[in-house]
Amino acid sequence: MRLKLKSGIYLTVVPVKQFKTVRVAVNLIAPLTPGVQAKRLLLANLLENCTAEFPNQAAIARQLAKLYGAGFGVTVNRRGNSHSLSFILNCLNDEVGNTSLLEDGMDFLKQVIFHPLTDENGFEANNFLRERRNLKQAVISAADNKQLTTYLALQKAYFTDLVQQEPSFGTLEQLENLNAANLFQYYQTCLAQDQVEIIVLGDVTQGQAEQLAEKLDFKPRAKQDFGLFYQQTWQPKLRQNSFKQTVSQSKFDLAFSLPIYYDQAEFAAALVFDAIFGGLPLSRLFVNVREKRGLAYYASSSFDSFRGILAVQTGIDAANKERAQEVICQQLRELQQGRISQVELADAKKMLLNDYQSQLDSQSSQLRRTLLTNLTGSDLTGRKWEQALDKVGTEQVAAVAQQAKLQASSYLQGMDGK
Amino acid sequence: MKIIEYPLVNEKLYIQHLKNGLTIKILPRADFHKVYGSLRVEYGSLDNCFLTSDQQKKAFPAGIAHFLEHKMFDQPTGDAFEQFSHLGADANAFTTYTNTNYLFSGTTQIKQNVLALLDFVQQPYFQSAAVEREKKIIGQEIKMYQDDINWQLYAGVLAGMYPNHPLSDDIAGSLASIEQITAADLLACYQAFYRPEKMSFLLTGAVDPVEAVSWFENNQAQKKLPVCPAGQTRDFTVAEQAAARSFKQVLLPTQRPKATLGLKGTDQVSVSNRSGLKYSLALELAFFMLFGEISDNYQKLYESGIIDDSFNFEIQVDRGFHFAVLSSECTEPATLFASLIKILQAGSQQLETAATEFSLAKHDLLGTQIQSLDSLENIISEDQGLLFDQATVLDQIDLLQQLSLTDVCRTFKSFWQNCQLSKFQILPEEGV
Repeated sequence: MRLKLKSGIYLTVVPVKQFKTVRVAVNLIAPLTPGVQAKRLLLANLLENCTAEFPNQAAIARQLAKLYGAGFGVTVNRRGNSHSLSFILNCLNDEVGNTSLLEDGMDFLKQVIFHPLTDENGFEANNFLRERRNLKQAVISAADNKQLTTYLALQKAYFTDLVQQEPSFGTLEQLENLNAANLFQYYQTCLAQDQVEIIVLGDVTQGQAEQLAEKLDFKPRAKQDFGLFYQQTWQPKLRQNSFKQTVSQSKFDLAFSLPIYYDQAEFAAALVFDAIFGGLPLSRLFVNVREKRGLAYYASSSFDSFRGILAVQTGIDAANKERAQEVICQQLRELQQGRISQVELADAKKMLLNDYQSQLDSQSSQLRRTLLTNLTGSDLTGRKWEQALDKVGTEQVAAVAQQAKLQASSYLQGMDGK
Repeated sequence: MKIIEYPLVNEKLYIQHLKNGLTIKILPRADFHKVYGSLRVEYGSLDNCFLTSDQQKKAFPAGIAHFLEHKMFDQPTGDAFEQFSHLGADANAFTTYTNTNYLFSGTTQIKQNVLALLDFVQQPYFQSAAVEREKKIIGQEIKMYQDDINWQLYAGVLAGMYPNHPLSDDIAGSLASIEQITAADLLACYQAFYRPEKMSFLLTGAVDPVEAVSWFENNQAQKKLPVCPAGQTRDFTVAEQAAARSFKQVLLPTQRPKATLGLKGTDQVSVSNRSGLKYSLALELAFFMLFGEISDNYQKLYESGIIDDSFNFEIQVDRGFHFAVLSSECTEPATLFASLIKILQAGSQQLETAATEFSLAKHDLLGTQIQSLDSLENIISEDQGLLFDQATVLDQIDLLQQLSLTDVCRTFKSFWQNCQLSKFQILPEEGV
């Protein structure tokens, strides 16, 4: 149940008894604007590593060890036009540890969120500089991940909006412009203005959770008004982003516009479509591009229901590029024509149902799903979701497929250096 | 059926050895929605040269265990993967240096899934045309690993620690080695190792153990498996081993230098009883105290910029080998190596006087392991198959709880005194 604690501050309790731990997520949600991804990722890294009371990683690690090896992390996530900075704590149930583990854990979270390590200018200088340097190095090293590099190139080619083009870790220039003072200022605005979604999952009552949440003294704030879903008009020109590097395997990605969103009735059909097309282990892309023709080592699709984009990623030999694209587009055409067997449809629905039920065993999936429900107001859980999936037929899948329009591609051409 | 209770975590493990030698382990988690099953064969990439029980010497190309895993899914009735799709389950498989694993996870039709997994792994069907086709696919997989710098780093340090040993080959083999593999080779390896007495099946999640065991019993009783000479894995501990190479550097198209220090263990460590697992956990705890985030050493290295968040260490104690590796991206590999070795040299002394740190570290690792029981995937991935007297994650928790600081000190001291060091670094090619 989601409870409004104060204006802009919400608490949701998910009472489940199957786990040996209780997991708490404190999510700060803000609109995605230029540069916020770099700022918030650096914030996540900095806040995770020091607080006023626990001024370095060793002090934090020791405190967590005292809490029986409690899990803790600060993460970021982009969804459509929104960005979340999330503080996560995972604590053993009291019966395993001792009676106050969760309470001590919440006290620790409070220190992390509200009492960071500072000096007269803002965030403490040494920690700030080190975390910024480390993040810059991580951004540089990200270029070693060729699959990611090719996907980022695709994102750059596909999106017309500059913010959506940005990598989730921002750019070196953006990081360069951050200092201990301006980042601290920015964090104060996050604490004061972001929508706050606290979610507690585990063997906890509503009353206990409310008491725990009281420890986090967020001030009331105005509701932020922004459209969660990113929409982009169809672009008449196909955009291509090709580049060469000394790697042995080439990568070739395609982006289709697929304007169907999480809160729409067609969402279930869109998931079934993506599953059949390239989402499942035995999807059309896997079977036809990889297994039957040996054109790729991997070939899969993913659908982002907050940005209305369907991405296809493949790892290929450079010589197979044209052929791979042909086969991929041919698979899409077949689905558009409704050439889907009943077994294929039934299997895809079974797998999605299996995925849904399996996620009930994963605390992080449950936290994510709860947050999505809170953000979209669209509850895709329980019987309702199972029925929505069940109703999807061949025509609905074809109708979704017909909305997928190729808009962009990226190509990393491998050249053997030796 | 043997039932072992673990009061600390309030769980039970059911073990049954079937008549044909197959070991069944069941860890029920009644409140979960899903069931995970894993059939593990004690046969991995190390085992490409072996003796059979009738004293035949066999040698096969590198990568054959992994190739066999891929081709196991081919069945007279089609692709075994498809069957799991029809059953609404996920199926997967992977090969390591010492074992091959076939897995499924599903929320319905559990019996059918269990039997499907058992049936396809016990039904070899290797066709030459399909073997030829697979070479292309595995070739792509090998190329993908070649482009993965972090994998190169790991493979590089292993090759340094174990020259002329199958650990220096990629699990998937090389483009040249897989080219030589034939359907007959696959069958020969299959017959030597894919035998009930070399397999264990772990089932965890929402299952009734008594009912589940009857599925296995009935299924196996109906099968007549052909009798062939068994494969005997080479004992690498006594094999004449080449000494570790002390240093190697390669230039690759990477952004930053990456360095890794390998410590090749030469202690006598048994995998046939729990002592080897205890050794492994004691070493893990020692490294956690010396290099974990709770240590002052880590803090100093991190604050001085010698390591960053990419720093990690790993302990491996497995059939025929054990080692530790420490690695990080860094600015100057030489400084990193020197700092790590300095900490290791003072390690024994530091550990002996670290009673407070020990109890903290033990608390931490114990809590982390108990938390890991909340994930069925973890229960599966922490399983030791037939090694260490068929240990599971529950036994690890038990052993960890019993460990004393004296155990940790003694283990570390012996490991460090007897180990061989091997440094490996990857530097950016110019102009990248």
